[in-house]
Amino acid sequence: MEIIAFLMGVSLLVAAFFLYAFIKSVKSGQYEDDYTPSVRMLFEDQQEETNP
Amino acid sequence: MAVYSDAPSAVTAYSCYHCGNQFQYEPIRSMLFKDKDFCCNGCKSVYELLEEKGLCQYYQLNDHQGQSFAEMRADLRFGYLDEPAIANSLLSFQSNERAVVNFHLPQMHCSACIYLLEHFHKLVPGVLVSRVDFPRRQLRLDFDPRQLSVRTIVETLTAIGYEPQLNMAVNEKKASDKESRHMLYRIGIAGFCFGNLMLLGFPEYLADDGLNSPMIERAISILNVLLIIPVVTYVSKDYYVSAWAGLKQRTLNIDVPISLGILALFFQSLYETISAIGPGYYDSLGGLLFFLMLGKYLQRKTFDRLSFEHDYRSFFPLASLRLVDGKEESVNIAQLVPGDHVLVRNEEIIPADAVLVSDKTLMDYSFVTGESHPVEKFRGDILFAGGKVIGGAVEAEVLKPSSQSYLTQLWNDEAFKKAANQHYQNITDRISKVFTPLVLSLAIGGFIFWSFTSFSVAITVLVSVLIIACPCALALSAPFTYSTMMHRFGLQHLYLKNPDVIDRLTRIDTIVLDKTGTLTHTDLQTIDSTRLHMNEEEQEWVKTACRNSTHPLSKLLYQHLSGKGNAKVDLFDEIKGRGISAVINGHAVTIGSRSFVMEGLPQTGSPGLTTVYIAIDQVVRGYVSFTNAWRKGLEEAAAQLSANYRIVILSGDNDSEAPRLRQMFGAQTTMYFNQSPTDKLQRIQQLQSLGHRVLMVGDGLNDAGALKKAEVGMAVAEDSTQFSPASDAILEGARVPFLPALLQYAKSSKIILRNNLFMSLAYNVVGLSFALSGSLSPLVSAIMMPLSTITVVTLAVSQAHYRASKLDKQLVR
Repeated sequence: MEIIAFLMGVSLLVAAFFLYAFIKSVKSGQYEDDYTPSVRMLFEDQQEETNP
Repeated sequence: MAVYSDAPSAVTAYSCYHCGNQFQYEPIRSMLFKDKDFCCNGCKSVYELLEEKGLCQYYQLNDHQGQSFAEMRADLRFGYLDEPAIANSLLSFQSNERAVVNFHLPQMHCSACIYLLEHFHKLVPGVLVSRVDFPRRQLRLDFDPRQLSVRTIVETLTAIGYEPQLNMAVNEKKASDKESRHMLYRIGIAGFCFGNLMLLGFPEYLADDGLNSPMIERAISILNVLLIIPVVTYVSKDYYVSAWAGLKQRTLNIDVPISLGILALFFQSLYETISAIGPGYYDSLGGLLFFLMLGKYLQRKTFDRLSFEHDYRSFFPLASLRLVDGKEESVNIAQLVPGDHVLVRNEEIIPADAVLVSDKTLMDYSFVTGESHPVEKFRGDILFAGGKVIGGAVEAEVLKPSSQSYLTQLWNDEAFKKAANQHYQNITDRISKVFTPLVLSLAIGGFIFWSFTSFSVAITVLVSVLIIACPCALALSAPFTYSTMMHRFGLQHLYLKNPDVIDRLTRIDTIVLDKTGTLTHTDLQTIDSTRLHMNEEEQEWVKTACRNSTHPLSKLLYQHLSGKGNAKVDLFDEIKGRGISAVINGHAVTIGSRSFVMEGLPQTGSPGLTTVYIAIDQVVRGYVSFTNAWRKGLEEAAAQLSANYRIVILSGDNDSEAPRLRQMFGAQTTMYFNQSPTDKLQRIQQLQSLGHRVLMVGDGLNDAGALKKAEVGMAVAEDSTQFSPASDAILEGARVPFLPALLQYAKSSKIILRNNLFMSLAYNVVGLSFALSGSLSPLVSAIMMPLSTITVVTLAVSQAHYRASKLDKQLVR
């Protein structure tokens, strides 16, 4: 039965990691423009793209 | 520009390779790319530039028509950007080798635009990075200030067809950004806690005796408490704040029972956990907050790319040219004082009310009144701020500071300020006014009743009533219904500032309509040519002259006149803003304004109309006048509107159209003509003081006061990216005749909400009966609470979509 306690801890950790990733992505502004990136990825000559 | 040419024998239509515009004159061909036709040198130059830099993928991506370019030239208009103070005010970051500037480019409209603008660094050396935010129509440019000036960037952008909107409001950062981030954090945290609480609650449902391990059960309880703490603190904070604010103002808003429900659920669960009598309702509480947050987020989600908060500052230019001792200097328009002389060039906006010092000019007041025809002004005439100069540069003496101009004074109007603070009660507030006291008295009544027999039972009853009656379904159905409807309105080109507007639309009983630009087209016109006397041959000459001009009035005249328009052109000259003088078949043809055709010609046409005079061989043949055409389908719409609402028409024009309007809207319609912006504002106020709830539909800055004052202000714009004054809603011009159907749809929200309310009340009654009989098992409540939430949300959304599909069918004609 102890294994369940261990699993609970692991699942919480995994979920916490996703929460952290989500907050990080909001902070970086990923949710502010949800249209342009979908178009940008279709442009072909990307060899010179410099990302800030 | 004088052009000598032999007209081709037959009219062929060409389509410009760059901008896609159809035109009928000899196409301009590039020296290098002979197979492509261009409508003007501007389009050709842009094509050659793109070709040279290898950016022709633009044309593959460009499925709509591109931007049309008037001329590619160094633009004098942006001279003020050389002034460091003004240029720096546009920058959001600045160092020696890097500067960042953000532009608003309303012309962006397709993926090709994104492609072109994101490859801007290839077009202009010195640009380091260019990034497009398409939903907001924004371009962020990082550039090297040693190589490049803001002026060069603005000029290049203008040349390729994306003229940035430079105005005083450009640097105001959106405050809503931070708030919407917090909203997302809350959803994330609520979702995280909710998911884990569900998982931890799972063993409870497996068997009656649980996991049979006291250690694990204790671990679960501790985790439950730990996970619910962020939910009842950070996530639900807004509910407590709003409930407390409501209580302080002695009102019971919807957030009071929600807050009480949350707290009751939390403390009840805590009590059960500590005294080890049950598992608590942690997962239900987590789920409830998660859905409530989703609803709030949807409610907040607005049409980001549209700005509903324009005031005069977003329309006026950043700087103006002041003349000091015959020298020009750029100054911020806020620094203009009465007595200053300003120089305003072609296409520039008059920054403040001023007196014309130059001999004469043409003024385009389309932004102010919606009237598209330029008006002639002479020395000594007053030019109102907001008008656009057409033709050569003019000098004017400032009469009033910009902030106190005829138009901008509206923003200083007392009534206007009050309008901004007006608190509006939405439907949820109205229901909760009845609902909240009812629930509270039921809970307290139950508590008092039971406390005579057993105090612990009394507590249980109090808590369970609060939990079950928590109006989450009610709080959720309105945001989900409204946000779905808002989306469907958007598909019909009616953009709402926020979901509350729908509720306000259902309650209006009076519609106030502006005439010019709202009921009529701003561009298309009908022609009255009864005062024109020409024989067929002469018509042919005039038609030929019109064919060579791109001016909209020439095009209309061209369509109106009979003949082929193929006469021989000996000489053609067009003076911008004045008219055409040409020699056709050896005869002098003059078409244009009164003073252009013949000096001292008496005014004959009615003053409100745009009139074009025509002279052949120095003999005036009469005039044609143009009036705005009514929008298509208006008659039908007018009949429907006047059947259901009280209609008032407010027009800044004269009353020449009154009989026609009365015929369309019916005899009981009230009409006021020659209304100033302040008059319009006062008319609305007057109606409101009589107890009417008013929808104002108008365009132009002269309606700004009325739009803001009315319960719902709906700005009409030919294109949603175009400037429109502050309003609650933006409606695309061509959709004005759909207004009755759109209002009908808004009204159906009432029925949808009533259905939902019934649903949630049914849930509450069932739940309360469980609660009062004392058999509220955790299983039942844990299943019922999320289930009711999901049912109500699904029902709300599907009903809104169903009604919208009916609306769509009605509007496809």
